[in-house]
Amino acid sequence: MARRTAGGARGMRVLPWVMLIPMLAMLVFVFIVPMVVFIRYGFAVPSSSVLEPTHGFTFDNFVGFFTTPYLVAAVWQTIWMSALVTALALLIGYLLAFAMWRARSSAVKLGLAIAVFLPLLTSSVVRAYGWEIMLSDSGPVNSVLKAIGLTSHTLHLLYSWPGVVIAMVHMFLPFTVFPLYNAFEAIEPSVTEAAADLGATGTRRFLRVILPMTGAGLIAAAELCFTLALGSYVVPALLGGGRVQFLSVSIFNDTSAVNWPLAAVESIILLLLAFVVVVGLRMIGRSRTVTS
Amino acid sequence: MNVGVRGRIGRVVVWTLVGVAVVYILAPLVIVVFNSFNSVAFNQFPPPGFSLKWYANVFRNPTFGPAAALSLIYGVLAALLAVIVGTLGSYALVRGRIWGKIIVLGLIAASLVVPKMVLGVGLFVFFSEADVYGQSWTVVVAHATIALPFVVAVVSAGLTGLDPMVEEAGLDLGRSSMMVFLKVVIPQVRVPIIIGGIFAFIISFDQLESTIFLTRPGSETLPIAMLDYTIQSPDPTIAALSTLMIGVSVLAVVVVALMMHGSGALRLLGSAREQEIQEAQDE
Repeated sequence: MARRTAGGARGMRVLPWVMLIPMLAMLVFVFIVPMVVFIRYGFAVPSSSVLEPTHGFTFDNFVGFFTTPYLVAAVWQTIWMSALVTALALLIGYLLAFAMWRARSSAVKLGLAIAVFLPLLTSSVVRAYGWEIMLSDSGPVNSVLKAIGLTSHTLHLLYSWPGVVIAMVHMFLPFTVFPLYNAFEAIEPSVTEAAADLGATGTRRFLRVILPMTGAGLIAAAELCFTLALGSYVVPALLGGGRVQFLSVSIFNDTSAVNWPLAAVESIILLLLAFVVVVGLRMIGRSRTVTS
Repeated sequence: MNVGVRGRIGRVVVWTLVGVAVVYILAPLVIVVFNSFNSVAFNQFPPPGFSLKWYANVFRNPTFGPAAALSLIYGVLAALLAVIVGTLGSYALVRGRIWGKIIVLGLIAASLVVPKMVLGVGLFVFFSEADVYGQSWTVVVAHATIALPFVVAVVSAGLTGLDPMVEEAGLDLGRSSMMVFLKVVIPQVRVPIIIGGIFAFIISFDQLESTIFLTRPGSETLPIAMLDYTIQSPDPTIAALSTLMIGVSVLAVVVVALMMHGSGALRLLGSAREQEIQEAQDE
């Protein structure tokens, strides 16, 4: 017995390393090395040629960035809009995941799952285009709002931040529903039963039992949604109409204008933002589990 | 009694809100289908008339066909690469007692949250310096890397549920560890592998932010061709093309749902039966 497990263990000790090599190679050569090479551009002395390999070392690109008001404004707009999108997507996603969890018939459950999943199967350009029609001055949203008397004048949702937020929430909603649904499914039925047996009302049961138990799911969903929103390009580019300054849109414009150092600085800032969001959310998640 | 009434009102409110949310999710897709039959070029609502001319436009357009074929090829190759690399790596991470596991997991997490446009520019710079920019395989490896975290998440979850005793039994019977992996492990995680592959294909097929920097003009993928068209001429041609794509997606969902029927798709959605029993007990 001991001999056999030892032999097996040896076989299984070498194999994982070999199996990990392709993945490690891919992550290093298609992710880490290119990122390092590109980040170097942010500290390079700008040159006029198209792709002059980097030379020199300077912080001037960062100074230039932070002393240009519209670029700093783009950073703030990217942050607050991504935060708003995440909050709204979590709210709607939580509702949908809760409904999927509580649904009695498996047909309703499956129907909701398909409704949530279907947009993911549709190109992001298609969805952005759909919202372009929906939100236009003579589009369905304005028609319906006028018809039911909620507004008398036309709302200019397109080419302004509300339209971008509405479409971005739609874009990232599925990414919040699935982690949240998993969190709900992980709740032991006996826990909610026990709370009910102890006389907790529906609201109390939700606030004291269900909400804390789905906290980890909320953190995971927020992390994915926030970082996706920070880097989103299609919606701000199509529905922002040049009036919504998003960092990813600036990066694209700067690469088109072959301003590599500026594009690199913006990319570094975007990477840092994503990093801060992930670390921040994980710290919230950790302090939550410690206190509870 | 009072609690019962409040509970019922609460339920009505929740399901009404769910209905509103579902309308919000489906409305932009429905409006695209609707608008593809619009008889006027600008997006007027309600449409003044009915026409099929935008569908004719899609098939007359010289870029959409080749772009769709290219996206399909990239999608299949990237999914295959991501699934092979991801499944091997997942097994190593789940079963192996590997030093530095946390670093590998950190790299995967980082690759998931890195803005894809930043990755795209980085890859453009890197591939240009390595003098391989514009070669098709660069797009495939880029897409596979972007899909990798999703494949690893799905396949790892499947592997975690396996009983290691079965693999040890295989080793005890004198099979090599590679044989055990291929003949014992892989068949048991067939469903997660297929789901991971489908995810990877979808991610590649819709990947735009990074691809913009990796394809040469004239060899664009479908999302890029569509974005270019939308910016240049926002007429319902793009709605007609989108409707065709939504149709293919729905068809794919139905086919996959039928294929998976009884083999784990419903289990992934959680067991509805248990739910029913539990709620019956609640009341």
